[in-house]
Amino acid sequence: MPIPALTLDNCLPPFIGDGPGDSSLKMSPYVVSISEIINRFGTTEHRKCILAGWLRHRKALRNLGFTNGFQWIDGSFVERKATEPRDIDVVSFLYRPHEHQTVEAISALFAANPDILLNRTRIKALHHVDFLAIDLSGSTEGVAHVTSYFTQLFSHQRESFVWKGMLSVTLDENEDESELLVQLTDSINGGES
Amino acid sequence: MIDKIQRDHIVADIAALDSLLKCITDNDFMTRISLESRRDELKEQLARMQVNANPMASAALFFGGRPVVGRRGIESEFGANAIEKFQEMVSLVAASRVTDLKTSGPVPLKSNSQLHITHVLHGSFGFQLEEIDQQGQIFDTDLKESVDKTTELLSAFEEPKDESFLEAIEDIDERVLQTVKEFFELMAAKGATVRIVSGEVDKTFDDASVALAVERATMTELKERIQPLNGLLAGVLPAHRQFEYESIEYGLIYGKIDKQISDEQVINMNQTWTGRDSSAIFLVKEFSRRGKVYRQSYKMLSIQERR
Repeated sequence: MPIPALTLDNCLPPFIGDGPGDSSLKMSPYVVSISEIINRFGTTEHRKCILAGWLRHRKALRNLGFTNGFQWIDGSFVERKATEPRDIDVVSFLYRPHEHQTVEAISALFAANPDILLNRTRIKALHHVDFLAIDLSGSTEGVAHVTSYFTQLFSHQRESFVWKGMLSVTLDENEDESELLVQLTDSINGGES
Repeated sequence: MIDKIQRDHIVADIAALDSLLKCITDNDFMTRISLESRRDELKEQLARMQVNANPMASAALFFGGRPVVGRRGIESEFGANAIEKFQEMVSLVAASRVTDLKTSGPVPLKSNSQLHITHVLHGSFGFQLEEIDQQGQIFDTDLKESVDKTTELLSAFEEPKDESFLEAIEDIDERVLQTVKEFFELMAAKGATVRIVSGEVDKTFDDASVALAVERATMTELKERIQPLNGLLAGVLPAHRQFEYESIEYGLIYGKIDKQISDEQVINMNQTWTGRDSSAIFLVKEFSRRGKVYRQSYKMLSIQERR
């Protein structure tokens, strides 16, 4: 399913078609691929830089053992605005790495990797990603509560109350993201990102 | 977005996060880290807002009731008339701060109080009105003070007690009172409700409140007269431009000092006039409702030696 066109309210639609009761494929969050996101939203050098940072962050997550999960993409990066987005808003639903199943272990992993996991300010500066994580290895009720919160937060524009959609992409590497990163980097002026 | 509305959203979001953090377990490690980080970020944003408050005039008017169709639309004639009345009130308040208003005719200095519709707001259907920034402003503009004063006056019409209402409108000009009456009469005639947000004011007028506001604006009679009195100045508060005067005719009266008396003169009044026989001229405003005088206010216009 291709990424739907933005609405007159300059955001993703909450659903495609005549109503929200159709196929789940036609409802937000839209399950898409990395290359679809790059092709649709990588329209300027600035945006390509952000996407390259996001791909590097995804690679860093996988290198730390986060290979199972998915990410919701929302915010100004997937909207039409007069100004360039500062970063890409990503909520990452993550299962803990196999070797870090306990709270103590995952806590130590976070502490040891602040620029990838813990320090949001640093992650934004280094990877252009506003990183928020939901612990899929935590309590079922906890996942339900926090998913409800982010769904409400991301499904409406704050100022206009317009109902809007978002994107979902698996964390598993179904595409050659390294190649996509190279292509992105090459297409950015001077090969810098 | 209006500062207060944005602040309210952030405060609500922080409350939601605090509630969420109480619901999750210690095992929800990554979730807890993220929620705490987001909460701390919002608190910092809130603190920055309180330091960097917008010095420009802004107000939000949300309308509901018969003229509004959900979030989709508002009757164009009603919307235009309501905004026009609000702008007129702001212009009259702004003008009354620097000059005396005539009972009719063009509003003085109207071009200095021009607001612009900058956004359409939803939930119900509303308009954001703002002062367009021509040059960088650091301190609150005159127009911001006038808009804040206007919304404070309007919110006074929703005060539960008549005495509180009359105290709140003590300084109101007769022509401003008339325009307020026209505003609420428009709401009542169209079966409309209104929510007004500006500065720290966030007031909603439902059907009953609109009816009360119309009644108050209609039945509140404001009479003004110039009253010379003899007595002794008891003292002034120069920073607040307030006086106390022990008059022979009415006993102790108090009120504000009119702007035609300069700040320098006000500062010297305690030294020059306290305890000395004097004659002073006051603008007396008498507020009546249903024929009963509820409140009198005094404004000192001049003071001189008693002959």
